[in-house]
Amino acid sequence: MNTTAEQDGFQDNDAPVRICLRGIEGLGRKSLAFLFSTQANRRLELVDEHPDAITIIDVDDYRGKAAWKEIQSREPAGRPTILLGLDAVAQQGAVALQKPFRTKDILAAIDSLLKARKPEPEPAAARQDSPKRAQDATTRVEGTGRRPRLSAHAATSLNERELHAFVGSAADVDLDDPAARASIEYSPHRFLAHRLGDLVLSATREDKYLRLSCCDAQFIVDPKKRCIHTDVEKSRLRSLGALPMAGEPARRQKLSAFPDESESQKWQCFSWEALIWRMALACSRGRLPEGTNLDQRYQLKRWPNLTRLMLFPHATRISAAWVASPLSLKEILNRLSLPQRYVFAFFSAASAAGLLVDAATHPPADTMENTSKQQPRQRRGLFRRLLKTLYKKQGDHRA
Amino acid sequence: MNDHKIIFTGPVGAGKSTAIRSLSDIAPVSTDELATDITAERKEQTTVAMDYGVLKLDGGETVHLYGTPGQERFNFMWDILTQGGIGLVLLINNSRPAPFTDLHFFLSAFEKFIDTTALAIGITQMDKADSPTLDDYYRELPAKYFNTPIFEVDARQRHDVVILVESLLFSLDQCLEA
Ligand SMILES: Nc1nc2c(ncn2[C@@H]2O[C@H](COP(=O)(O)OP(=O)(O)O)[C@@H](O)[C@H]2O)c(=O)[nH]1
Ligand SMILES: [Mg+2]
Repeated sequence: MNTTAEQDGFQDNDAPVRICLRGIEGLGRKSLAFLFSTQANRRLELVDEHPDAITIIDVDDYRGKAAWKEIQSREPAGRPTILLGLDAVAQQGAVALQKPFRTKDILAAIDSLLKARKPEPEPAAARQDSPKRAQDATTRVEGTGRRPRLSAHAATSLNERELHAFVGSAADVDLDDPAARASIEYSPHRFLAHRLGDLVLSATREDKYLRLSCCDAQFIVDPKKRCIHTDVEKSRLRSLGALPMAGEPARRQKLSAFPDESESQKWQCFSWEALIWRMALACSRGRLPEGTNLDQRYQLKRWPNLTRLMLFPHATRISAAWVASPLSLKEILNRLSLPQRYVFAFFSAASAAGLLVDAATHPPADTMENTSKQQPRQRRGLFRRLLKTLYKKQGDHRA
Repeated sequence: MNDHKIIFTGPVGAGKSTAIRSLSDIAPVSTDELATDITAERKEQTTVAMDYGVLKLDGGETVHLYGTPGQERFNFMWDILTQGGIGLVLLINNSRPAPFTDLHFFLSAFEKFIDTTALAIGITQMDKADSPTLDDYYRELPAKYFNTPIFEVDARQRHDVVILVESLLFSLDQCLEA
């Protein structure tokens, strides 16, 4: 049996030193990206987030400040971090660099963090130790703690690392606090998933092939086959989805016909739902698109094709709630009492894929309450035990 | 009749036997060898080829998995079969000549049961026939079933069948916590 993480047909290759930036935008981000790309003897890769990443934070920026606060509270044991600031001070295991600094200073800081990095314990086990994680009942460690199992959904085989790469690990924040909100937001227009989502909308509306060229990659939305053709290799899709495009010009082009074989021979075709869903999870990592209105009601046009998508904990439950009635983010968080990151990840993926839409634009569904369905509450205990049995077997099945 | 059960139905070759086998704790048997509650009611029907499987829960409870026999025969039995059932899993074989006809046939045959419980639909054999698409099925579905989960399913993959059953339960009770 396939592992669930690969159920949507994609796989990832792991590799280099990953670096993520917080509170560093515009020119700052560009120059660091350039610097890293010129380091032939170090493989430095800018990522949006990653459990093993070194985080570089500009603490003079309010988003950077919020991110640093968040890291401090979430990972008191420390996480490899470089703090940049006019009067940055080293604290809690983080290296500080006072502005202005030179390129060799920041490279030296990265090297020192890499050296300090001891052979790591199993990441899942390490995270399990932190008090915040322990409260979160979505994972539990069996036996030796080497193979954590998700107990909350059918995707038992989604491992901790993948979970981290797609749903993140952000703790819940106070959504009424602007600074806290800023720390869990991303700009959707800077990520490929959302661009492709827009492209799919246009391609369907116009019933035309549309091509998007950017990031050294080509994508052609095919409204007939409801798929996206691309020359990108499977293994690169997640990192491409996770990387902000940093204002890079993307070329959009209408095609009258599909390119002939000489050009598209080596291309692959992915279901657009599966491709966009996966890429959107990679860029969201449990965060919300910037400016999302928490009181606005949304509804699923239909169930996501969960058997063929990157499945993560609670996705089935969230789908059921959002398909049944129009709900705002606040309402759904309230109703399901889930950690925010699962709901935000779902929101990002389902809206990028065009499945979750403004309830006002969605023709009011036949939402009559079905009064005859009295059995659920009485049977909740049974259902819970049944799910547990199904998930447990799923895990055993894999082992 | 107090036992819990999930009913699997659908046309020939839709994967009912296979799906039940994917989930079941025991090697599935057919009613030929088994005196079930149904056969207790109508002894003369014991030779109906019906699939049966079992899921044993931690608390000692049992969930029975029943697969219905072919649609041409014995549909009068379905009433008995579904009594007290948790919900219906409908499998549609996408490679059959008129899958929408099958869909409507089973929806109307089980209408009363679905209306008082829940429904999850798995479209099988999509690797062999990729149309109609899931969107086509949603369009075809009567309006009152608008929130029914429809997934692409390969009955041989336990993962797929588990998600179907999971969606059935969450459709019944969104406040259910896993
Ligand atoms: N290719 C393919 N075969 C399937 C799929 N689902 C089930 N099968 C196969 O289809 C055949 C018919 O399944 P079966 O369970 O006997 O169908 P039933 O008549 O509904 O009981 C079996 O050989 C299954 O292994 C699918 O999604 N794709
Ligand atoms: Mg059969």
